[in-house]
Parts: sequence; C-alpha cells; structure tokens
Amino acid sequence: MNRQVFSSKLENSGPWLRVGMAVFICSLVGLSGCATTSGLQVKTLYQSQQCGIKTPALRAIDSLEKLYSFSESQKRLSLDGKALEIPPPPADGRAILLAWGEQPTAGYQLLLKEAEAIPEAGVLTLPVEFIKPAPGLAAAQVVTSPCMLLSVSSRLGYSSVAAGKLQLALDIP
Amino acid sequence: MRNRLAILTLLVSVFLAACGGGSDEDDNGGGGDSFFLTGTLQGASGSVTLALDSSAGDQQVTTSAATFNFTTPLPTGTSYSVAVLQEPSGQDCSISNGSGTIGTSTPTLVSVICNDTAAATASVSGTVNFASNTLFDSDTNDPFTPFADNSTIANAQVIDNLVTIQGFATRTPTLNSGDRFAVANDLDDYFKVELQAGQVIQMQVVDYDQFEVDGAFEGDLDLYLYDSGGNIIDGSLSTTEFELLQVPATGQYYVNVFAFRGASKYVLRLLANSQSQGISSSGIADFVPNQAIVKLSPTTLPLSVASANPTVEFMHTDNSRAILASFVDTSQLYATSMTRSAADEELAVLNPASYEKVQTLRKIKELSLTPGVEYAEPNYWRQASAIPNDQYYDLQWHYPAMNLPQAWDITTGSSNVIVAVIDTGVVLAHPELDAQLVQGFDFISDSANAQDGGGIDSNADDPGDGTSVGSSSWHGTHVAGTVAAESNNEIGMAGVAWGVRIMPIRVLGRFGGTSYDIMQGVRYSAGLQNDSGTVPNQRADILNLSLGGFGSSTAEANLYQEVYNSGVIIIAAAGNENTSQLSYPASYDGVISVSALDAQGNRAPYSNFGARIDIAAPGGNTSADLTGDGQPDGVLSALVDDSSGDRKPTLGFYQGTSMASPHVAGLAALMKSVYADLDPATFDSLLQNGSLTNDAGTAGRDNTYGFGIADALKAVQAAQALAAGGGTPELPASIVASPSTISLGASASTTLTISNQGGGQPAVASITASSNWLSATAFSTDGAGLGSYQISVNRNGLSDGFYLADLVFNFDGATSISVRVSMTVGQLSTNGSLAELFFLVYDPIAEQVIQQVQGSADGNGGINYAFTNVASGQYILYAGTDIDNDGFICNAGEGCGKYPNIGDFVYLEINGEDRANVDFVADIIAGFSSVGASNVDEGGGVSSIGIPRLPVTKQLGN
Repeated sequence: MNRQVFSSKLENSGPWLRVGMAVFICSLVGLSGCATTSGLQVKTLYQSQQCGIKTPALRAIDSLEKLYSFSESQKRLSLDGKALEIPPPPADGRAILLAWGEQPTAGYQLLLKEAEAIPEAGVLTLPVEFIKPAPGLAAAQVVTSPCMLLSVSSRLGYSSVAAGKLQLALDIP
Repeated sequence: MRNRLAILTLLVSVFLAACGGGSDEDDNGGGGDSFFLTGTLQGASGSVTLALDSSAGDQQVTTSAATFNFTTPLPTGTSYSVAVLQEPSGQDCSISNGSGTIGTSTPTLVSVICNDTAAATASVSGTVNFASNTLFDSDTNDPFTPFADNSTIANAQVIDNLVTIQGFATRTPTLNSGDRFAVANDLDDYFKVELQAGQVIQMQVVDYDQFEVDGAFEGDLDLYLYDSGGNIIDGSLSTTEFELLQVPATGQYYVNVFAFRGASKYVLRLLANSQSQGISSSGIADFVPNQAIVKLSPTTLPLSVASANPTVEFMHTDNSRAILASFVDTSQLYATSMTRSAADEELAVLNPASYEKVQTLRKIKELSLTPGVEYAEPNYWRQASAIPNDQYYDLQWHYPAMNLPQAWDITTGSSNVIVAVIDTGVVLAHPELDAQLVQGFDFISDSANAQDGGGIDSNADDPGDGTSVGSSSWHGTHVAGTVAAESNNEIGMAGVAWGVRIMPIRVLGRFGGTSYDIMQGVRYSAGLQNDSGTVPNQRADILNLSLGGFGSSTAEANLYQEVYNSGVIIIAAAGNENTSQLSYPASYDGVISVSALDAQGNRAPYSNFGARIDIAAPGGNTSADLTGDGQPDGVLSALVDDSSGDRKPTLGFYQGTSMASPHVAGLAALMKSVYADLDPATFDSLLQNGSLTNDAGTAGRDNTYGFGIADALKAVQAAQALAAGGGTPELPASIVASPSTISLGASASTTLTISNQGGGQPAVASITASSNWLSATAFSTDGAGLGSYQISVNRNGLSDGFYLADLVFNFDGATSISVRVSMTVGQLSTNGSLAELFFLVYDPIAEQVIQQVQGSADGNGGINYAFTNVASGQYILYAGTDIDNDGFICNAGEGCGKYPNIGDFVYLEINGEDRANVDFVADIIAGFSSVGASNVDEGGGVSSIGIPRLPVTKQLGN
C-alpha cells in the first residue's frame, strides 16, 4: 500500500479506527505524549548496602562499557576467588542505577515493591521504597551507601524515570 | 511585474541620492546635507586619540598626522563634540573648535595643539609593611641585608612560632661577584623555636631541580628537626619542591635547612595545629647507622657503584635482589669532596649518635641518586612481632595502627576469655568465625523485626537484616570478625584477639534494635537474669555494642551500671553522625565510648566526638586510600554475599564507629587474657592514666581522641605488669585545663578552668608564671583550688611584639599542669633581621625602572621609602627583596609588594604634585596555598613576578 492510498483510507476511516491507528503509530514512533496502559517490567539486577556512591543518584547504565565500569566499582574481595558478575538487562530492557547516597547507619534500604511500573505523562516512576531505620530504635553504627541496579523494560511509553525526588531524562533516539 | 520593478529602482535611486550618495560640491565629501568633520594636529610627539561624540554616531581616531578626519557623516543640525582621549606621554593637548552643530556648510576645522608638559616632577613617599608573622633568614645572599650567622645550633636564629620565613642556602660558593656567598657557602640555617605537638613544618625549595623559576639558582634543600639535645627527631630529604616535618611533642626544637646540593631560595612555614589537619609526616623510624639497603638496576654491577663511591661496601654482588651496603669510612662525609662544616663539628661533639644518623641519611640519599641505583633506604630496626599469615592481612592497616603485631608477640588471646558481640547476630557457619563461637542467643522479640520466623530463641544466626537479596548489612559478622576472626590460617583476614571466644547475641533486626531487646541481650551475656530464662555457662568478660541511638533511659543507665559493677567491661560505638550530641549506650557511665579514626590517625569524617569520648581506634574512611594499597581505607573483616540467594562467606571493608569499637573490645580481651582479674574499674584507671593509649590531639583527655589512640602493646604490657604482681593502680588525679592553651591576642584577660577528671584529692599548692606580665586569680574555686580562674596580662612597659609564657598550676604530690599563654603588644613586627627592601618606580610603557631606592626601617616594623623628582606619568610602584642577589626582586621565595595591592591593575599617577603616605603591604611569594597572615592576598598565593632592579654598588660587609 503506497502512502497516498494509506492516507486516503485513514481520512475515510471511522473515529475508533483512527484512535487505534494513532496508538499504533505512536508506539511505532515512540512519541512520549502517547500513553500506554500496560505495565513495564522492572527487576533487580544488583543490590548492595555498600555501593560506595556518596550522593543520591539516578543514572542510566546504557552501555556494556558503563555496566562493566559499574561492576568493577562494586568488586569486592572474596574467599572463593570468584568475581562479581552483574547480569546485563534483557534485550528489551535498560539498566537504571538508583543510589541513595551515604547514610550514617544500617537500616537504610531500597526495596523494589512491584515487578511492574506504569508510565504516566512520559515518566516511569520506579516502584522503589526508601526505607529508613525505625525511629527510636538503636541502629548498627556502620556507614552504608545503599543502591540498586534495576532492569526496566525499554518498551516505548516514557522518556524519563523517577525515584523519590530523583528524576532522569533518558536519551531515547 | 516589469513595471513595478522599474518604479522600485527609481525610488531607491532617489533615496540613495538623498542620503548623500550623489556628488556635491563640498570638499569633505559629505554629500547632500551631511558633512565629515576634519581637523589639524600640531606639536604632537606621538599618537593622539580623539573621540567624536555626536547624535549621528561616535567615532575614535588615533593619529599622529598633521591632519585628521572623522568618517562618520554628520547631517545638518547634528550636535557634536571632539575630545582628546589619549595624548603623548609628557604632553598636554588642547582642542579648539571641538564642538558645535552642523550647519549647511563645511564645519570649521577642529584644531588640536599639543605642548610638552611643564617639566614638573614630584616626590613619592610612604611605608611598606610586610605581612604579619613573616621573617627573613638572617644570612641571605643579598649583601645589603644585615647579616647574622645562623649556621650552627649555637648561633641558631631565634624565631617565634607560626611564622613564615624566606631564606637562602647554598652548598658551595656562588662565585657571583657581589653575592654575600660569592666565596663562602651557606650550608646550614638553624632556627630555634618553641613548637607544639602535631604542628607541621613545610618548606618550599623555590629553585628546586627541574623547575626553572628564574634560572639564577638550582638546588636541593633538605629539612631536619632536632630537639634541644641535638637528637635528630625528623628529617625530610626528598629531591622535590616541598619538604615536610611534623612535631611529635611540645617543646623547644631546632629547625635546620640544609643545602644538600646547589643553591636555592626557600620559604619555611610553621603551621598551627588547626592548619595541619590532613598533613602529617611519619617521622624517622630507628635505623642502623652507616648501613643502607640498596637495590641496583639489573644492568648495574655493585662494583661500578662502589668504585664511584669508595665509602660503600656491598655485602653481596647479586643485583637481582636488595643488597646490604655499609659505609665503611665513618669519618667521610656524605660528599667526599666536602670537609666538615661548623654544624657538623658541633653536632659530632654535641650528639655523636645523632651526627652519625644524619650523615647516614645523607649518604643514603647520595647513593639513591647514583646512576644505576633503583633505591637506597635506611636499614630500619624492626621489632619482632607475630604477623598472621592470613591472605589479606596486608590490607588490615588498622592493626599495625594499634601496635597489634607487637602485642601479639605477648598474647593473641586466651580461649578462657569471652567477648559478647551484641549485634545483628553472626553468620554462624562463616569459616572465619565458626570455630570461634560459644553459645549465643537471639533476643529480637518481634518476629517481623527478627525475620527468622519467631521471637526470642537460642539461635543467634544472622538471617540478614535486609528486605531483599543484597540489602543486608551482615554487621554482626563483620564486628565479630574484627574481635576474633580465625587467624593465621592462610585464608581471609585476621582478628584482634583470635584466641578468645565470641558470644553472638542478636538484638538488631530489620528495623533496628529496641531498648528492651538490647537490655535482655546485655543481661544474658553478663550472666544476669533475663527473658530467656537462661544464663550462659560462662558469662562474657567484655561486651561490644556497635550500635546506638540518641535517646537515653534510666533503665538502660541502671543496667549498664549493674553490669559494670558485676565486673564486665562494656565497649560501645560513639556514633556516626559527626556530632557531639550524645549517643547511647556509649555515653552512659560505665561504658567505654569509642570514636573512629582514619588511616592517618585523624578523626574519621563521620565519627562523633565530644565530652563522653573515652578512646579512639581505627574505624576507617572508605572515601580514601591513604595507605596506598589499592583498596579503600575501611576496616577489613568477614562478610556475606547473598546475591545468589545463599549466604556465601566473603570479606569486605566497612567504615564506622561500629568498626572502631571491636578494636577496643579485642584490646580488652587481650588484656584479660594476660591478667584474668582485669575488671572495669582497673580498665578505667589504666585508660585514664594513659596506659592503654597514645595521647593525641590536645594533651591529656580531649573530645576527639578521649584519652588517646588505642595502643594494644601498651595495654597488654600494662596488663602484664598487673599480672606480675604490680598493684592495681589507683585512679590517678587527672588534672585538666580548659582551654589547654590560651591565645589572648590583644585581649587583657580570659577565664581558665582547672578540673580533676580522675581520682584522688589533688589540691593546688601554688601557681607560678614564667613571666611577670602574666597572672592568675581565683575566680570561683573550691577548697582544693579547682574551678575557674581569671587569667590576666599586664602590657605596661612592654614593647610591641609577640609574647609567650607558661602558667603552671602545681598540685601536692608533684602533679602540675602547664598552660601556655600568648599575647601581642602593639603591632606585630618582624623579628630577626629584615631583608633589604628595594623600591622601584617602573614605567610600564617604556618597560623599565626609572628610579630605585632602598628603604629604611621606621622602628615600628615598617620600611620607609622616598622618591624625589619623579616625572609626571603613570607608573607601577614595586617593593621587593632580592635575597639571592640575582638582580630581580619579586621572584618566587622573595618578598614582594605593589601599590596599592598585588593583583590590582592600578597605576600610580604622578602629575607634578607631591604624593605622601603611599603605603602598601608586601608578602612572601611562595607556592603554598596561603602565605602567613598576609592581608595582601587572602587565601591565594602570589605569582612570581620577577622585576629587574637597578644594579647597586655597595661595600660588602657583615
């Protein structure tokens, strides 16, 4: 079907078909203004209480080089000689690093509450809970730096991610 | 279309014609109703810049031609004016017909006539003051500077503390005609000064090798610190631009600048303790005189090095490994071509052992610079010590920091001693801990907090305090590993007291630890009745609580007192909020509060501090790698990796007061292993009388280090003494002065508090002051003389300067405490010799000095100058020293000032009127981030300028 015929057919189609076509077209071209109602998969690739990242951060680990660099930064001594292996995100996912920054005690935890997230207005809010130590209770006096590396579906529907007060605009071609 | 184009073209033509594009009869070619302004220039000796200001536009013209014109068309009715912006130097230019309104004919020619300025000259005078606390070496290379020899200890230049000195030293005569040291050397400069513990002394070798500053000199200077008996305390013998020393204890010292090679200016700074944060020197460890450990390059034969240096003998000839070298002729100096200097002769008599060491250091440095030598180092004395063979022991910098290897020569802990780790529990199967444990208990009463399916139970295994894989701290495992990990088993890491046993007590869960649960854990481990209904077969001797919070409670306070009274030693972490706010349980009476240190023995950035800190121990700082081992400077201990879903044993670096506390708990366990009767009161006594620590920070107890940095060797030796029948030390009187030193500045008085933080009944017997301008009057004291005093100074009859004196409170029983008091009288002036100050009037256009004078002291620390007959013009006024006599002032390492301030691009305008009180300040140009207390440049250095001065002929003389 050539372009002229396709356009003619769209002009002559009914309104619901046009909406459906719009959604389909939006999906194809990745327009951030198009809303999708299906959840996007979010899962944890890596999590630690000692990431060594001193300030809160939300970063896209959008290349194997960056993933390797992050893995290297998380390498620890081991008794069995095995190196740390952080799996890359699946082919249809992207890796997002969320760091809470340095905290004075244990008890500061990042918890992935849901396995899916739904973008709104182009923003995918990561379903992560920032858990603080319970007030009034004693805490272990070790400095921590919690972080988690998440795999987020790269299906269309959002151009930025958010977690808590952090927001990251993605470089989506 | 074509018709429209034609009409448009016609209109454009008309428009252009109206704008003067057509021809007209005017000479200036303005065309139509616009004209160009023209004029004549007469008498100008150079270029003149004229500015046209009109409503039709502005324009500038620079010319020296007889005629000029402005190319801005000025329509009829335009107002205009012409002004002279710049005229030739030494001339005044005036304008005629320079303003008006354009009429309908050519405007009148503008006439500019320049005449030479009346040959008016003026005087310029003023005073230059050097930045406060700056001094000069009393024997620089500048022949015009008053000379005072300071090349020996006996002739040492007496200086105040906290000064910055510019100086010069040369190993050999400079051979430059006119130099003070043209035919003699200036090998040593000695400065005698009262210094405080922890102070840092920095020296910039301004003309150090490979750094072409001004090309006049190149040299390598070294820095030494001697005590009053001539013992070498510290030395900095690098070949780089900066040398660094640290003062180990308060007292009188000699700071020695030594010209190892060549000649150089130097800037020497004595930093206050507050400026020394983060800077430290490790000092000189004891070494064998006249020996060195040498490594030659693979292609270098020992014979070739020995033949080039006949005083060296090598023990073997295998250049694939380090070789022991001996300096066989001890009468030879480090440089065989030299003879003994006066300083050498003096030290050889004053302190022969020190002299030998200094010569050895110089010979080693000379050897290290010999081609083919990879390195040459002293043959240090090392004490025998039991170093565990664990795989990663080398990364545990925190153990040598406590002298643990030396302590392990005495004991590695007894299995009769139990340390309770009251924490998140312990991963019981961890290979670093599984053989070290006794039965523990889990007191987390809330199952959600416990995450192990139930409330309190006898299983102290740590299931993880996180909510998901990778989110648990495994804190108790790490802490327990520091106390007593299995050690010397070739795997993993080592613990402090690996012979003792660990009682794991679980009280911290997912949400933390409740006060009640923790109390039950404490009660159980101390063998007291508790909610478990049981007590351990053998109670713990020491409790470690690497936990805390800000609330206190009577129940807790009472419990810890009860445990203390029962004979159990309690150690707790001071907290990680970088605050002096009290954290509990560390701040309870009866609990030892531990602050955390980094790898250099400084307070870790997160560590709490304050009135309840008892002792400091390594807690780590993972933001740094000051140890240079390639790992973050955390405390290495046992951990768990649950990323696979299973708890796999691993190791890791943590930082926190949680990590410092088990170091002290382990230290107490080692003591208990040697002296079984050790109880909390005895531990306290030993802590307070300095038997367990090395004093740091303010002398005596302070809010950062408490009673000092934990020293396991001292602690174990103290325990040994008790075990050998020595009496349990009475809690000694511990007299504390607050503040410990007083800097009055220009103030007349202040308040001092004298208190006893130990035992006994000390009473003030007398108060003495080392100077009669200083006095202390009881303000609010008890019958023993403890309390607050008013400290006053009387400046009557004192000349301007900086004064130091000691106030000594003498107690019965031969105890005393000394408080150093400093104050200033009037305006601080530079002590010692003043370097000659050259004043230059510099013409920036001609790029030459037009006048130069040398200043004269005004008796108040300032230097007066006066120029006469300075021709009108714009100049830069400089003042500077030329301590190396190379003909340039204001080079690096020299004093420099510029009117009104260095960094300001402001000329001194001379226009025939005398100028007086043209005052400004000079400072020393150095490479440090700030120099002295200069008000010329606050916080930034001054770049080397290098202004050539005029030659001055003067008789040389001392």
